[in-house]
Amino acid sequence: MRRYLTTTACAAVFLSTVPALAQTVNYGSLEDVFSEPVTTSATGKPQKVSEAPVNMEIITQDDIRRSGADNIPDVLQFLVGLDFRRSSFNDPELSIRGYDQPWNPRLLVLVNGRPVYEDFYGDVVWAAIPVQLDEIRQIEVVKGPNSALFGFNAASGVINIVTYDPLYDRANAVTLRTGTQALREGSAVATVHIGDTIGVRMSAGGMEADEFKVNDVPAENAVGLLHPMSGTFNIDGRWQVTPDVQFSLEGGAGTMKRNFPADETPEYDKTDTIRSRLSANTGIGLVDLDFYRNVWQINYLGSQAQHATDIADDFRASDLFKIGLSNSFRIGFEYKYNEAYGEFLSGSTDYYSTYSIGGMWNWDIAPGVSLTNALREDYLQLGFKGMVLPITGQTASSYDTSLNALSFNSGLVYSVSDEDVVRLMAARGFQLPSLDDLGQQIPVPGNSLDLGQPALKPTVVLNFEADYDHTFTRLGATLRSAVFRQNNNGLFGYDAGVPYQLGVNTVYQSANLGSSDETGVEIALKSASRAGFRWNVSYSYATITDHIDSGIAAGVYSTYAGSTPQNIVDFGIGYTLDRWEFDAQGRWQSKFLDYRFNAALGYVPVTIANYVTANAHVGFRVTDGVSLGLTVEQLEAEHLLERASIPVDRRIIVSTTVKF
Amino acid sequence: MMRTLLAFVTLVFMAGLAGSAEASAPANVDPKWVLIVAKALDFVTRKPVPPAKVIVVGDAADLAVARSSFGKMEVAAGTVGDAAGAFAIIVNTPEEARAAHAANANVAIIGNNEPCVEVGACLIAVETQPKVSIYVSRAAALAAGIEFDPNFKMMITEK
Repeated sequence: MRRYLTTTACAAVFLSTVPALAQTVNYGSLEDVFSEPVTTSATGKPQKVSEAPVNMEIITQDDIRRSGADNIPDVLQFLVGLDFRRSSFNDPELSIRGYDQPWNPRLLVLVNGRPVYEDFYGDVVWAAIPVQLDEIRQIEVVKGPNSALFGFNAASGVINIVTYDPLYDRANAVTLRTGTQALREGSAVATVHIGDTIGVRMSAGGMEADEFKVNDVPAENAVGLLHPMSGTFNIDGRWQVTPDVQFSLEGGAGTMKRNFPADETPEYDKTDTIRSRLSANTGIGLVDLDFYRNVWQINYLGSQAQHATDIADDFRASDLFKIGLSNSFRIGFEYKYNEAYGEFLSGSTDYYSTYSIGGMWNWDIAPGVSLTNALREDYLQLGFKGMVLPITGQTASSYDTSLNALSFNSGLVYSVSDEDVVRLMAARGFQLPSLDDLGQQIPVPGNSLDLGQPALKPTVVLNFEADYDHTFTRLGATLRSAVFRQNNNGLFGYDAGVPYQLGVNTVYQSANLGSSDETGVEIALKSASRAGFRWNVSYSYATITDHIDSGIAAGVYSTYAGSTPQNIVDFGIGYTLDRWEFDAQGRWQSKFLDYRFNAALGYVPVTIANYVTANAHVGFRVTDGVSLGLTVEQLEAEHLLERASIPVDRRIIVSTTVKF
Repeated sequence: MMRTLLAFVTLVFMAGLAGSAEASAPANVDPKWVLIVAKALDFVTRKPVPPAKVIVVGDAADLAVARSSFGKMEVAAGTVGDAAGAFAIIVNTPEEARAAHAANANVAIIGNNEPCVEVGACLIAVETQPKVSIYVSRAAALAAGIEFDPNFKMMITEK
């Protein structure tokens, strides 16, 4: 009891949640009332996680702290249904339910609902996302397509990073970390309130470290490696204009350097973002107007230095309302303009505009039974400005093309009893080709040409799933299980089509490659006792069958059956003893096939053997505001090959956090 | 032997009767639901003008629970007839809820009884096990002039 009170007191000191009226969702106050996390990532309306019509995992700030990790992918890596692999110190990759690719274009990552996707490659540059671990309230992981709410690229799933709200919460913290690989890392978060109606949260962070040892990496893949670093800054302000109107303005910037030796691509990226949002409680419902601009500068520093700039402007409008006692609706419109230019496009610009309209209907059929249906139609128009290189055989009219995409999410949630919940879901989502896939035109020395394909079709992902959750009330434990079947039609890959001869040049062109089916099972058990003891264990199984068109060479973009580990077991144990926290998490996964680029041979297969890895963290609260942490990542091995790249070295991290 | 068995059965039966009599007696309010109700009322869009008053129909223990939960409001003990001008009245039984509703149509009546919400007599009821569920009567809210935050309304069951 004393421990509980102390913890509660600490939380009150560091993070006082202000009950306030909200046009935006006041996560803290709602969670306080309903005694469980609240999410909007399933349907766009606030819901208790236990009632969301999707398969969702929530990582809380407590989970983040206890992981001892210094980056988001490391926090998430032991979650059931997620595949994790690291190419180099600053290049972790996450995928949901397999289909991992370098620059994973199937996963949509958001910060408070704003995509932080790098649109040119279709990639998540984790280190450049302008958010610090200390300012995160929760990370919501939706498994399965959710395009009917979020549009293109919510194909395998969505990760929404929800930060503390500057208007309702006070998050103030400074964290310093050091450790092996000459790690030097720091972050700061501060919140300022001006009266009761204005709140501003500022955050900044940066890190620098040595790259992992490259002894086992072929020399041609280890040329010109960069010193891993990142730096980010963000400011988020919110103003309660009237009791019914709220306005927010946010700006951020990030920069990072990473290595990807498997494909000879050291990379130096920069991003800037600005977002403004107006939310109002009106007679027709909760109206939300949201605009953001994301700018990315991508500097590819491989054998051929290339640069691209991508600018995405996005405007969204939505209205959330209730009709009668048991029906909620959300209607939405979105317009996005995305253009890219630079050396990847030989100085030209390719772009697309998308217009989207969609709706969601949530019907509480009976006590404990709800049905949610969401539908969205996207129309995309592709275009090109500048000169199409004559050697490509294409003309500007090749880019005068459009496509339509109809996505849906449907979910029935049935609380069979107080302890049993069943979810049945069907979804159709889309993975959009990136601007690089669609429009790159790069003459490569030696008479070859890397070429985009404007006629490339998006991958259509169809997912059917049945989930069953059981709460063991007396044991304080929960069982979560899922069975799913997924079909991916129209898979495509960067430079992945059948090479062909065009004049003197051999052309490597993006292409649709075929289809693939996946069947999977996930089972997870989790428990936390009042005595401070906690544990979890989970198992996931996935089997994939590829139907790749004839003539397509096996490679990183076309061999999903082999490149997804079939079996993964995650486990964790922890104990809180007064001011101490002890936690360990681990994973065993079966072997999979990866590919390493070779200039002469193309993609060379490399088998990544099955392995077990485990992290441990000890935290000590010196005072209510000061805590120390010691984390050892990869306890079991000094070096571990997680993909056909640089072996990951063991890391030891020492941290100090001051909250005020 | 038979007499001993009969005596034992009689004792068990009497103990059962005593237990059921105890169960039907008015119980004290559950601190957990009172706390959740107090937090839920923070989502009222037009806050009551201080000093807003909450009347508790119950004993000293109920009063103490309400005072610790409704920290910002003036909490006093009273009867169902004392709630005129109060923001809310907390009752323990459906009978008290019905009586309070008859006496004070424009006061938020808080009785932890879902059927009471169903018929529009009580404003709010809360289930705390195994998950928190909140039931709100639209009719009672309208009568009391109470409107809830729209995001909060998306997460409750309206009757």
